[in-house]
Amino acid sequence: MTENVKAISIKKHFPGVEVLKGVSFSLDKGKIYGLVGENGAGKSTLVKILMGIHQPEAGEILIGGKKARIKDPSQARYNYKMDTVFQERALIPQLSVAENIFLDKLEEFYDKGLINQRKLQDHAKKALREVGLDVDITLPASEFSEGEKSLIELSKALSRDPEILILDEMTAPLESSVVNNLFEIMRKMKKRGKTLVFVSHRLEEIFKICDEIIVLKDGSLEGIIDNIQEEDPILIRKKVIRMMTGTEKGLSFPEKTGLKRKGELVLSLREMTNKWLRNVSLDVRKGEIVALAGLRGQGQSNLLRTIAGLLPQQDGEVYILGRKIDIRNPKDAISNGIFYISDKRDEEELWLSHHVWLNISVASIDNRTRFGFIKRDEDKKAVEKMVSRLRIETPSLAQLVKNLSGGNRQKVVLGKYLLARPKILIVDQPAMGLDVATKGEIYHLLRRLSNEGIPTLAVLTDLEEVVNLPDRLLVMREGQIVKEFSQERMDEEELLDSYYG
Amino acid sequence: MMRNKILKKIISDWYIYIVLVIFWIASSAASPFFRTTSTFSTILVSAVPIALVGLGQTFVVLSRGFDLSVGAVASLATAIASVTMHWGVCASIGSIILISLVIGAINGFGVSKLKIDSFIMTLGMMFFLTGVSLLIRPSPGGFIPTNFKKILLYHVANFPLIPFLILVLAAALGIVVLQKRRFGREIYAIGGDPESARMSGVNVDRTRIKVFIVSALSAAMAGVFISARIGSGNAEAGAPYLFDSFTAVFMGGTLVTGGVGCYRGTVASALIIASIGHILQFLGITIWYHFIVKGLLLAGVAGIQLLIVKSRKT
Repeated sequence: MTENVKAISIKKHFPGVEVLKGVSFSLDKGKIYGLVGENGAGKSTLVKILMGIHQPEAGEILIGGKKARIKDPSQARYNYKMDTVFQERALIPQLSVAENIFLDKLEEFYDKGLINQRKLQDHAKKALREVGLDVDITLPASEFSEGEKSLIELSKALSRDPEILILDEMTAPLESSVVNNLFEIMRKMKKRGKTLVFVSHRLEEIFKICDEIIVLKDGSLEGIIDNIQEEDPILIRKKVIRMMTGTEKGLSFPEKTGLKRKGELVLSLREMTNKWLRNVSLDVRKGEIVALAGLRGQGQSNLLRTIAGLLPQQDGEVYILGRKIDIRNPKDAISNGIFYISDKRDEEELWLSHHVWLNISVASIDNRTRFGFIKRDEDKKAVEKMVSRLRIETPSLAQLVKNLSGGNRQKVVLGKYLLARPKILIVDQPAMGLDVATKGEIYHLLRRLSNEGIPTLAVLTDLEEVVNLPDRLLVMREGQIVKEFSQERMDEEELLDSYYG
Repeated sequence: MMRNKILKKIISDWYIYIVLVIFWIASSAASPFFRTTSTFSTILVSAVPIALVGLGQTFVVLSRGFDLSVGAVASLATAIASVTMHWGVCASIGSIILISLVIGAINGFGVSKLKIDSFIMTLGMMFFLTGVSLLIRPSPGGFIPTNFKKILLYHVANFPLIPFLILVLAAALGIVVLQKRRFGREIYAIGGDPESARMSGVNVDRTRIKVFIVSALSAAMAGVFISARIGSGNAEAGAPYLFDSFTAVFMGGTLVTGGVGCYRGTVASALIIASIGHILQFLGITIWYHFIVKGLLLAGVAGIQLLIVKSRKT
């Protein structure tokens, strides 16, 4: 086996997030690699770096033993023989299929300086036959289904005869017979000594076709499992899921007191449905912390955003304290006491360059005015009280929020909404990005609030959190709630099993 | 069924020419002055600069941009022509081409590499160039050789042969480059989805720069033609063509959102715009109403387009 690609501690960050924290791996010829990880683990960014769409900030890529500087996709394709079927399809909707397949080498079809359509179409037909697709290639790409588009892209990649081929979530829109056909193509390429990287959320597919699995978690390489075809699939599966969802040590959690109380019903959803959700029903009672879990991107965050009126709700009913309400926009949610806290704390929740006072006061300022003018003393008192109640560590109310630590920022956000007297908090990843000690503090704070009558519905991702924080746990998959857990000790094995179908 | 489909395609591809013919028939019916050969020849001549400016604008709009500097480039070209023609026609036109290349490259560089919105970039360029034109030619005038004027406006028995050939040449060039060359297809690709185009290996920045160069170049050629028509240089002569270029592009079926359209439609629209001026004049409608009509036309066309785009999305 000879090494084809080697990546050495690739690092990349986008404003506010470190997407890749130094990822290293090597890919051999004649092997198929599975690349797995939750949404946001960095898979797509890694693929885009290999294709030259993003430039890494640190680290290097060796191809065939030589250092490669990949500046754009053309270089990746022609200098390094590397190609990708991208997750976000890269077909141009207005151009014909034939033009799309050969877009970056149309001059090869010039006849007296002009594109010869017949020659172009003949070649395109041949390329499509390779992937078993027979369609009218003169139609614009926008006319085709997602599955057809991904096959068109595959034919586009294959027509360049790549040494390294990456398939990023290509199978998601494909029927199983087409997937089998795809696997046939992949096996043939493998036999010819090509390197393939297969990115998929469907673990079954990964286990079926791959030789090795590369697991990413939060931008780091969690591990590489090799020779998977020779091991027990059930064991491998457990191992992979555990690696993908792994966890931190040393967190302190409050007692699950919500289980024993049968509090008043605060929020009920019945059959909520929209583009991201299918028939979601759930109840949250006083004294409870209820969590939404599952692999990332299965509709948990969009469920919160729908309840908050940020996403349109097509069907279903929402009840607050037994009363049916309509939520058409965020204002409707807020006026009914539903307060949403985004996981994008710094961008969507805070004015970083304003002081603590304004940030806490702003959401409920209407309650402290007379004839439209702010009652300054009362406002100050209310904010001060909140700062001490939540133990926000700030030298003064005039401190700018950007000078606060992450944990204190999150408390400022909580304070802002608590002043508005919420009936329920719906929080996306309440402790995200905080250190272990501060995480514990936030957990205890949420528990205290729920004991005081403000329950929480939260999206949680970290396995430790998922198991230890909520009284009840709802697992989501593809926009549906597929399983509910409400034991004192949740069974991790059973839990992880429910993440996948 | 099949025949129906073909008919539908012909109508959707050539509707603007149908509009043009209907417009001409209606205008001829409305005014006896309109249905003369001399009117049609003037219309043809006045359509040339609109079609030329519209050539570059079509490229720019197809690639998801706007070029607000086209009128100013045309003005600058008349100003340069009026002060350099005494060096000789070739030297004068050569320097105009060179300068417009630089202007286009700067616009393109600002838009692609510096990521300045094309609206802002070319708005700045428009004011900058207007100032430069006024510096060169503070008041209309200067020297344009008689022979040069005669050649560019050469008529054969009342038919403006050379202007017509210029129109045909521009149309052929525009259509062939957009439909049959990689450059043209890449413009559609960028207009359709810049990110996808990049992933597909299109050098988006370089193509954008080329697009703005084409735009400046075609606007400069329009300016040369205008200078022959008015027989002088004028720092404001090109200004009206900015507006006309957008009307021509949008009325011709090129979508504001980029990626859809063609130059064929722009040419027909240029003829319609030129005709509108004449019929309004013949009907004795005062000049300020011309502006009102043109303004309503552009807003109307853009509005219809937005409806089309919206209906496609849903």
